[in-house]
Amino acid sequence: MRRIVSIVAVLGCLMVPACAPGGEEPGGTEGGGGTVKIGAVFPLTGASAATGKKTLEGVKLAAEIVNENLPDTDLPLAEGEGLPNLDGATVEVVSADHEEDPEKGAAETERLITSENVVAMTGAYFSSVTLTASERAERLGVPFVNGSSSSPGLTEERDLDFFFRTGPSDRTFAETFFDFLDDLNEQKAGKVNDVAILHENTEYGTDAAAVTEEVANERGYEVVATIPHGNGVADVTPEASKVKSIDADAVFQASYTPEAILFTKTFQQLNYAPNILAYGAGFSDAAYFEAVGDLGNYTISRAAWALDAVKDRPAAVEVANMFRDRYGDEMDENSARDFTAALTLFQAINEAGSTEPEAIRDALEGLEAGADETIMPWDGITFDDSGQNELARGVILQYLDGGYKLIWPFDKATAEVKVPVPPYDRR
Amino acid sequence: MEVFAQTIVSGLLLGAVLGLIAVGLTLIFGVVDIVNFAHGEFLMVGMYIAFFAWRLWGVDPLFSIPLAALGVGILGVISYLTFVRHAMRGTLLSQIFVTFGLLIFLRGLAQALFSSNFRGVQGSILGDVSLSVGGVSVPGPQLAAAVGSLIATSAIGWFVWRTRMGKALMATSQDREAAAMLGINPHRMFALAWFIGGIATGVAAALIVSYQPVHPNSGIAYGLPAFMIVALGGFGSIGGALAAAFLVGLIENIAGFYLPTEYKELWIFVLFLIVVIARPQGLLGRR
Repeated sequence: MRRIVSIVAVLGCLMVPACAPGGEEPGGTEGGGGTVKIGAVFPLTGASAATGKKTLEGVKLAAEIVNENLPDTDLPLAEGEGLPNLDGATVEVVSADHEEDPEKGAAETERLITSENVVAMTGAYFSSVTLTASERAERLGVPFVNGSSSSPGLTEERDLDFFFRTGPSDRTFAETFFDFLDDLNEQKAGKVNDVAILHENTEYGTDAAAVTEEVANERGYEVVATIPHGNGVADVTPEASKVKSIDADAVFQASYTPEAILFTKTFQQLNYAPNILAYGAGFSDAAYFEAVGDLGNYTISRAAWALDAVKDRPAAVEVANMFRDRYGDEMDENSARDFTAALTLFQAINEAGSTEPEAIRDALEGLEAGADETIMPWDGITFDDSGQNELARGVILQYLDGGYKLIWPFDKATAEVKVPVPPYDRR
Repeated sequence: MEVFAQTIVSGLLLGAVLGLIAVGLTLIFGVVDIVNFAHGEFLMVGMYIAFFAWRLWGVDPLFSIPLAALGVGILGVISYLTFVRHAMRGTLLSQIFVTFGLLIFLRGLAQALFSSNFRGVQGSILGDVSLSVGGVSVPGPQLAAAVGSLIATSAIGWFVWRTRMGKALMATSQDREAAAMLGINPHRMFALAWFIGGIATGVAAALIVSYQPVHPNSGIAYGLPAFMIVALGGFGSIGGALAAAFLVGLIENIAGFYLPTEYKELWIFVLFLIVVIARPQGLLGRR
């Protein structure tokens, strides 16, 4: 009996990410002395560690742009070293690993604020973790600026004073998708009427599904099925078979990287090529395309950033080049979003001229950044009462010939949209 | 009907592979009387071996089966000789901690050495093969994995039940002291059990790597079901593990398709609870 109890206890532990092996996070150095510290909590170990690394690199690059004198880069705080309104104080990013666990994310946020004395927080990629981490920051009265969590509920269902989101929410993205489908049906003789939704079952996927259904109904599209799936699973054949048997005109998919890979391979095995409209996440991850190769071609994804969409902005191209030089990988949507969240936070700290949390929050509330002050294809950054950036926009990309190409808005497109997508054996 | 046939086929294909993985685990438990919590990580190591054989030397995973099997088998023996052997003299809790520690160590080591990136084998021989029988698609890689797993499971069964050394292994499993008195060295048998358990896992790893992404956590998805299958089938029972694995594969696919997918694992655990209450020794386990 004792054996069974012990085994069950350990198995329970295996299922909870909190007990999974933790990474040693790079700790902060001594505070004060002209250094402003911000905390960054991301998934640095576990299944999404690769994405977490890239998002953190985005934040670090933003800090570098502030700290170094880059007079030729046309971005806020690039010229001169440090934050001018704080006597040139440099900024420092103290990172922590939340291991995809909401509780751990909240605990690490508290540790960074109380022990490392960070003046503001950023993170956490996973919407479910951003939810708990930002609530903890709220309780401690410290601003939390998020870049890459898109769950609408983060700003819509909560009344937090210290939470801000620079990136678009999935409501914006859902509207972007249906704008695209409307245009596709009208201008390109597309035949998309009924849609299915395939989503992972935590905060991000569930909210994306709910908002897609809501917007679909508003726009007169029929949602024929909503299929949730778990994370960290060995097999998704039942879910994929369901999608196949329903055979909708388009399938909205919100999945993180491992399941995105698994679904693509399973669809191939079932000889079924759905027209996937992806809510980023796994489909924004370079690792997905490395793992599935040519099968990933023709994936359509919403994005808050794509190099193609900002080619006319020298600063954006320069930042993408700096990213490649520093970290070896291409900048992707996730790193661009967290870069922007961090840079916005630094801007607010500078404008506040103070490291007092209330002053930073007031500066964030009053912030008005123009489109050309960002590296994003947005109209700028201005927060509404809920803390959502009301000027964030989405674009639609399709993965063609080894890279995401801008396919919508049609007038800015760099490639022609290809739907219905060809079967897997012809990719 | 076509759809139902598809769920059955998918369930059997999954079950065969889960069976081989669980057989490796149950063998170690049956003989050595220790639960290897790092079993999923053994699988992950095997997947990396097969992946790098493909990546570095272009060896198709089908041909790197011996390499992965041997690699994980040796890993099992090393684990036994270096940690487990000593832990067996300690308390139950220390036995659990030593294999659980091995799990954390292997996962951390994989992330340190290979990074947390997802990797996948592309263009394997069977990668694009997919049979279609009356509307039911049978993917080549999964079929190969299922057939390969059944062959490997049968081979292990043959070894254990038909060969002298296998009989010695089973004797040790049944009564360590009595076997020792008959001149069977238990430590050799323990090392052998870890070796065979590792081989089973390594074979499974090379078989699934053509359709499963490889990353430091890729053992979790198979490790956890394997534990449940072992408990379901009866700790130490090879036939029980195989039967339970097919049951799990079928339930997951049938319930996953016809009932809300988010609860597909629920039914497996419901079955598990029923078995634990009604037949605590497992389906084919001995009391």
